[in-house]
Amino acid sequence: MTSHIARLYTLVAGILAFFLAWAAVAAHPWSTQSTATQDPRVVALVARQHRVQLESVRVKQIVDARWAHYRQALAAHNSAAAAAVPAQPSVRVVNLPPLVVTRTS
Amino acid sequence: MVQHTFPAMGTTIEVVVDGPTVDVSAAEAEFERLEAIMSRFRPESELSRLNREGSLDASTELAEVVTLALEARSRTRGLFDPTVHDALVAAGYDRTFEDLADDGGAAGARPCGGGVDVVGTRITLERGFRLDLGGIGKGFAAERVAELLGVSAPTLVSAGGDVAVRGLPAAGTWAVGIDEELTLGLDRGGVATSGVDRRRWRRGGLDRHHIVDPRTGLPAETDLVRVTAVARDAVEAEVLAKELLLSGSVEARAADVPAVLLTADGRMLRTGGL
Repeated sequence: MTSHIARLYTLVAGILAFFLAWAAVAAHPWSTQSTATQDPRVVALVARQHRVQLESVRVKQIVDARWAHYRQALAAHNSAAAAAVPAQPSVRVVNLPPLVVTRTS
Repeated sequence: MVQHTFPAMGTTIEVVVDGPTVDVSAAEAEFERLEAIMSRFRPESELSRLNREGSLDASTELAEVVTLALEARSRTRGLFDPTVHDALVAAGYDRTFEDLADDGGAAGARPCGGGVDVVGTRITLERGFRLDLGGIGKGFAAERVAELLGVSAPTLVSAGGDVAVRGLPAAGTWAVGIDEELTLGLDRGGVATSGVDRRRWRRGGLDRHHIVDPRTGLPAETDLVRVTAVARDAVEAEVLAKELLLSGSVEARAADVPAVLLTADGRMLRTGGL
């Protein structure tokens, strides 16, 4: 009986060891990360991502600068418009043939 | 000098440009665009939608004209009022002037002075009030088109008598006729005429006209038949002419602004140094 239980434990331990070994082998522990990135498509994608990130930063800087310039010009325009007083009318009676005749519109 | 005449906004538009090669077709297009916004006779116009719905996210132009009209109402203590729409309709002016019948039912008064709220381009009307921008709209359009063409050459635009000018012609001044006897030389500013002698019809056996007195909600009764006013631009001149007309001859003379007044007894009075 004791021998039978010992054999059973041994069998279970053996099966467990087998699957652990299988899992370890299936995980390819000898395969490094650099091998994966050696795929030229991945390398190209990573490079492109980096380029796009740099471009987006540059575009944002340009847009920010232009927006600041626009806001500055708008503020100057608004203050100039607010300060400007419309010129008074200039009119007199003349002895000329009229170009148009004013009447109630 | 190029002179071009075309119909718009229920009146005759005259454009005079002191230059040989200016394309004045842009003037017609701009008047058409602004009429499509501000006409109360076009059901699809922005103004008609505002009057129907009571509130509207309007174009910048409509918001600007309404704001100008409200400023004018404040400045004239209510004598100029854009909320005369229902009073005009009640008086019988419910369609374009050309389509008005000779006579109809009796006209009644309608209250004016309704609340109008403009926040940004959002316009909201007090319930029971609608807007008419007929007069001020023509002045606004005349100024817009004068500004548009004036960058190319000296320009005069007359929208049924609301006159805007930009620059000076070779003759040295813009000659604007008041009547057969009097011509004004306008170097700068705007001219407008408001009167009860034109755009008249009959309702209930009574003569009616298109100048409503907001104080009564009825066509105005005044001892002036016609007022021509000169101001800094055509919009201001339009408002001033109406204000003087409704004020009557005594107050109009006392104001002493550049104007020509025609009284009911046929006298022509010049004020403000004219």
